[in-house]
Amino acid sequence: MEFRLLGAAAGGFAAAWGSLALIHRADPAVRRSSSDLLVTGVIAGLIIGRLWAMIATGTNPLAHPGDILIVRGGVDTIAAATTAVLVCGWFSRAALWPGLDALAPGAMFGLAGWHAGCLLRDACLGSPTGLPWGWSATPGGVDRHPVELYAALLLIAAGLAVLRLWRRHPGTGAATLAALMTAASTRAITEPMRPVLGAGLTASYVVVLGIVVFAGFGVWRQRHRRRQV
Amino acid sequence: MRLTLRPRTDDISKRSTRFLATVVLVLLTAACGAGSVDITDVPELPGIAPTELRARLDASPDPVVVNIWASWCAPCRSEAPLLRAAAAEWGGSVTFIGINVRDTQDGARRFIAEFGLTAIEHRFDPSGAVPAEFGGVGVPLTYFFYAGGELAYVHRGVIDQRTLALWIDTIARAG
Repeated sequence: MEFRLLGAAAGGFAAAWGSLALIHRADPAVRRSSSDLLVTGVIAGLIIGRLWAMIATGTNPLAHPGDILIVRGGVDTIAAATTAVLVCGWFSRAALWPGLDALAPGAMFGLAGWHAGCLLRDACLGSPTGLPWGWSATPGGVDRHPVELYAALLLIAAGLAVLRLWRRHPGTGAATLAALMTAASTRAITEPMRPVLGAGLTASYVVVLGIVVFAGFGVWRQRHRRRQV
Repeated sequence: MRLTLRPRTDDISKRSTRFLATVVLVLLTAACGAGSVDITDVPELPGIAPTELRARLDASPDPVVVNIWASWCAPCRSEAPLLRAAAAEWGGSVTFIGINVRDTQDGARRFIAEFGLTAIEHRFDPSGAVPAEFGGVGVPLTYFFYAGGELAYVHRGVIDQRTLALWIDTIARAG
């Protein structure tokens, strides 16, 4: 089980690293700095996301420090993603937008790879559906949305759009804001289809919607400024 | 000459460290003891044999989730809060049984108290006969049974929220 999770994580990392290598093949310095930034952001995000999940479920990380390594026990994705973005921003603060923009398309493809890794983990399925492409967890059981594959497809489409934006307006922050907006939108669209304990509008869902609005406003403002120029 | 209002780097570093330390302290304080109960509220765990559990599953009108755990097992600690949440949400339509294996009564009761797992029916199996009979190695293990006792799925290792929710929903819908 743990190895399948590692396999999915490796798939996500390979997608991110491979796409960054391809996108920045003409500029090895940017390729290296983007890859380093990605690794730093992912590691920091995993640690904080895991700590957050432990604290939220009532496990004291000081009393049980070894439990931090059991990532399968839960990683809070909102805390992890927020930390990763903040850490990447902090380490590229000398040239914030160029640094983050160079990373944005690769991060989107990496996220898509991670979600597609559900095929390795047997963890693609969500809420029941009558749609023809739904499939069942057991023979003769209820068909369900392959929600993680929806997320992967949406993120690939978003990644291509972000890549196009980065090529047209590099270093302006447009790619970063568009990546934030589309990643959060993907989450907002797919989350209601995911199986969860507890129901209703969770705090993390409100945060996701907040990021969509904030980043969407940023994208709109940038377009507005470009038109004025 | 350009006037800079930016504070010195070591000042920023000190402030950041203080801020982070405060945040960590507040979060840890909030985390300590969340969901736990007093150990005196946790009774001794009755024993169980594989045949008794099999009969119980066959006769059950509700779907059943059986979790094999031990107090010395770190992954069990990771999934305990999820099982508590699942039992609180689905307890009316799904039966939750915890089988404590290769453990002591004191260790098991401390674990139940620490995580507030009182909504789950716990049984004591010091020899590990139940997982040996039901097919499974190590801890934790989580079995999902349809109503009537047919096995739907067995999850080896620590379970995550999505897998737990998916399989509870699957056995509940079939029932």
